[in-house]
Amino acid sequence: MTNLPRATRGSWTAPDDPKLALVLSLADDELMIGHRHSHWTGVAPTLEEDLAFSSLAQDEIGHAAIWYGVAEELTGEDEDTLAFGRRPEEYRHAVLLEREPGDWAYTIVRQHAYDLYDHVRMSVLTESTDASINGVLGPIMREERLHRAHARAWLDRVADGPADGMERIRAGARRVLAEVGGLFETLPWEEELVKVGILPVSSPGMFEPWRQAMAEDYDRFGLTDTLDAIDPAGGLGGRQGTHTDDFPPMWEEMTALYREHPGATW
Amino acid sequence: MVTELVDDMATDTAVDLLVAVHRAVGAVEDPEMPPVTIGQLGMVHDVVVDGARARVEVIPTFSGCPAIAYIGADIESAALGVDGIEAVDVVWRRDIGWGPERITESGRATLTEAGIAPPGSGQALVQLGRRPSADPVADGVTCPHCGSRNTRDDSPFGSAPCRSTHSCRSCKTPFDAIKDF
Repeated sequence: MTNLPRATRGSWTAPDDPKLALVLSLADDELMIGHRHSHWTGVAPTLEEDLAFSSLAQDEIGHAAIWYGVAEELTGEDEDTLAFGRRPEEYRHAVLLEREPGDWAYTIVRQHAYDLYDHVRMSVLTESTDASINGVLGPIMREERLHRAHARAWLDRVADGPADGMERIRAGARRVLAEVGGLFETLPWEEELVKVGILPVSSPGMFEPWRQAMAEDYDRFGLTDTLDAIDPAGGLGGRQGTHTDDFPPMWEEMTALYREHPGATW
Repeated sequence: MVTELVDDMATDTAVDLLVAVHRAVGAVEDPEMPPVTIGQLGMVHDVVVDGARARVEVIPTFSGCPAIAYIGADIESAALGVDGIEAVDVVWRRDIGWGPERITESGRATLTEAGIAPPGSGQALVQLGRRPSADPVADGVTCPHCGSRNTRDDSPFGSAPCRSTHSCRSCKTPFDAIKDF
């Protein structure tokens, strides 16, 4: 990593604010999974999936921009500063989403598990007392239907295919499910958000609805036995800014242009 | 009486200007699907003219659409091309979801002419090989070139986020469709 540009632009630190922490966790989750999806542009197993993952990445990064837009209203900082101007330890995404794409099986299993979680979270947020949060959910939820359909179609197809494919999916699922706990990790100051109804259900409270949705799908895919790998205590730390060794190189890459060329446009 | 007459004239001029801006903005072509316009796609949510300043509210088709910056710039120059407009604010409404039902009748016709199947041509939410159909030969997305329904779904993701890809078994032509979602 010696040829990467040094940080030439100062970083921005988010103030301690419960609602901002929630909004940044939403934005950061979408930015990281979108960045990881974009890995497949040009190298996916088929041309159709090359297009699919490019579209999924565009959508997720678009959703991140919407959430950073909500954070902009709270902080006065622009989207780029919020997305790229923070130190690695200030990001609040779950560590599962920063993991390297791995193989195709890991990618599809992670996309499915995360998008089911994202759906539970957004369904909860439609009941939020905060209009700036529940007001932007419509377009995002509409697009996300296509994402779930994409992941399910692949897992359905693998379930009907040869045993080798299913073995790879099982191996991917064991790695993904061991770290899903981080999605349900309590956010800083979350108690206050739950109390006033900005977050109508706590982060850990979203686990059970997600697990039920997973069980329903995995039963159809013939993967029920794999659900044992779900570890609610695995993959923690991200919501507090503690990340894995996979994150610093990803952060260096995604923020390089922002740090090296202040004011760059195209 | 004289005052009322003057007021009416002022109102007429304002309405004319508003209509002119609306028309100019609506005629901006989608850079990914020319000659289909953003008016035909139902992307123009509202136009307000205050003096020489126009405010144009637009809905992106998909939230991550990379053409947004280009479309915004085209809207600005289209509105500035209207006599009497000196400043333009383009506002992207991220709280309103676009859907294929917003496409106008003329938009559907232009899409078909451009070789893109408009919404309601038989699209299903899951278009990935396993369409739930009793008769796959007669139940595909209608081909915009020859009208056949003997078509195959190739991919739910096409060259733009709002499009899927298909091919026609009758006229042997590949085509795109606007996604139903």
